[in-house]
Amino acid sequence: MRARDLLMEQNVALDRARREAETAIRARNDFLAVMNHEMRTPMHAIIALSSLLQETELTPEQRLMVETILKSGNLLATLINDVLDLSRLEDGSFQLEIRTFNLHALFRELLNLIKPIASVKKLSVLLSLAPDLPEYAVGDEKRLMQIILNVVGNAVKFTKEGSISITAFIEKSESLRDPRAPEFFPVPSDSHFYLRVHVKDSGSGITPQDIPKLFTKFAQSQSLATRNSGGSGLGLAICKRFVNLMEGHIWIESEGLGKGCTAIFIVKLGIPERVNESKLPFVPKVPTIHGQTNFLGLKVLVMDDNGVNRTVTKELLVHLGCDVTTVSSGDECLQVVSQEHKVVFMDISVPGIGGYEVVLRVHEKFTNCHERPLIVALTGNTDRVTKENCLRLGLSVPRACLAPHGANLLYGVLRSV
Amino acid sequence: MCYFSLIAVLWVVGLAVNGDFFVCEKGFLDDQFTQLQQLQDDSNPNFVVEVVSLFFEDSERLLNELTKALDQQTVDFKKVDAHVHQLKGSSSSIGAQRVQKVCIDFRSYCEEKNVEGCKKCLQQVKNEYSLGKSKLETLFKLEQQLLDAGGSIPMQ
Repeated sequence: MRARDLLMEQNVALDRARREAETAIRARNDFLAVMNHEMRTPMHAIIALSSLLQETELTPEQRLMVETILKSGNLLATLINDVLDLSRLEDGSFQLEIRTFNLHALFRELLNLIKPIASVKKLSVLLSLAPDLPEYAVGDEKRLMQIILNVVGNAVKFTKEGSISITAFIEKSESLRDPRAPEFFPVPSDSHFYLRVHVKDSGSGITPQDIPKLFTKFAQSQSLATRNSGGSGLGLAICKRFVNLMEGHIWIESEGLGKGCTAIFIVKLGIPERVNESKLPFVPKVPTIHGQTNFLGLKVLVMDDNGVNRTVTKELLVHLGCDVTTVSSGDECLQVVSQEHKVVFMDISVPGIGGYEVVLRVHEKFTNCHERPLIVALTGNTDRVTKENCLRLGLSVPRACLAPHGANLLYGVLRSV
Repeated sequence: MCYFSLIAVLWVVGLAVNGDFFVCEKGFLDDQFTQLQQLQDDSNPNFVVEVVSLFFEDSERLLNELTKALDQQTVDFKKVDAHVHQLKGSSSSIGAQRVQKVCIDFRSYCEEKNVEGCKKCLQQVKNEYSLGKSKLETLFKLEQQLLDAGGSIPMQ
């Protein structure tokens, strides 16, 4: 009798504990989501407005101050992103966003992003993709880019002169193993393959004892810390977790100080079933259904003060099956935009309320980031300042970010929604 | 090119064709124009004409504003630049690449606050624009004649 009562009591207690834990996790996630938004909004304002301030007439002294504000703002934004990412990764609530994407294009984009920074330090960057590397793969494109960018970014950061070489190929059984992790044994199949990327730099190198510490949180090795290293020390820790989620492995090899470094990672990617070649480069007359990408009835808003551009963009989007509303000014945009609009195509060089301000107001209007439309910048300005400003505001910047707003460009953007 | 088959049909129908009529060949219009043509279909049969007419209206207004602005004693370069930016945008949207190219130079002169350079560019833009406009108008007229004669316009 007593034993049974005891068991029942324990069950009740366990159940209660489970429910409490679930409530706590939900509360924590809500808190993080709110914090995410709460922290990002003022962050965006600081970054956007200091960027704009930079473009006004300033004394050299003022300019220096504004640059420092901007740099600090960017650093802070990166830190916030990193911390939030890591906390989601730690508690297992993080989910990869699996989709078919263009692997070759990802590497080209990487090159575009890293070349300007490398050229400032007069470093040459070489990319070589194996000829048998598939053009399309299935996986989390954004996180894969994050991993590569982080690794390559580190290579650039810690290399004073020379070159960075990036090679990508399919993992084969005779490829070199990590001597410290002999149990990792990738086995390809019909539906997936393992992508292997080597990033070799001619930088300051690392002592073998320091290598294992690299992937732990907040660790910055003494020999690596330089005055301008910056960063939170979370980058590689996050990379490692992403790589693990992708059932892969990441490690670093170095022969010692002054002998450069090679970072190697392997991730598992799916092979897409059938790639629809006809989607490049013409607009399909009838909106075609590519797996999940069906734009029929997708509500979008186009803001452009140029009548011709408005008409052309609208027609392109209508042909992709979207339900398009057009406005010609920032004010109109703010009046009309609603929760139902999934994407806003914005000409950010519209006079009156500047494009950037409209973006901020839209962010303010939709406090719940799930309701907020994706904002895509369309602009005739291809200079880097504009592009960087857009990226900071969280605007999606189509790779060929300029008018004419080509059909395949819009298609690519909509696919990523 | 896109209009080769059109020419063949016109010849069969017996219309005299101006050899200058390959607007694509002469480099006035680029790929963007082809994309516009592909957007035209039964649900929107006059799309190209409509957009191009809009472009003509817009451009003529802008060219007038530019002439006025550059004739002032003190030129307001910000205003000039804003107009050229508009023109550059719309010309690239319809594929008028020659107009667009001149606009790029025009904007550099604006940045340098070079009045002479700007006036030269304005003249160039006006030339390119009238050249292109007359070609497009001829094209539309011929297309209309073809349609009236019972033919159809093959699209690539």
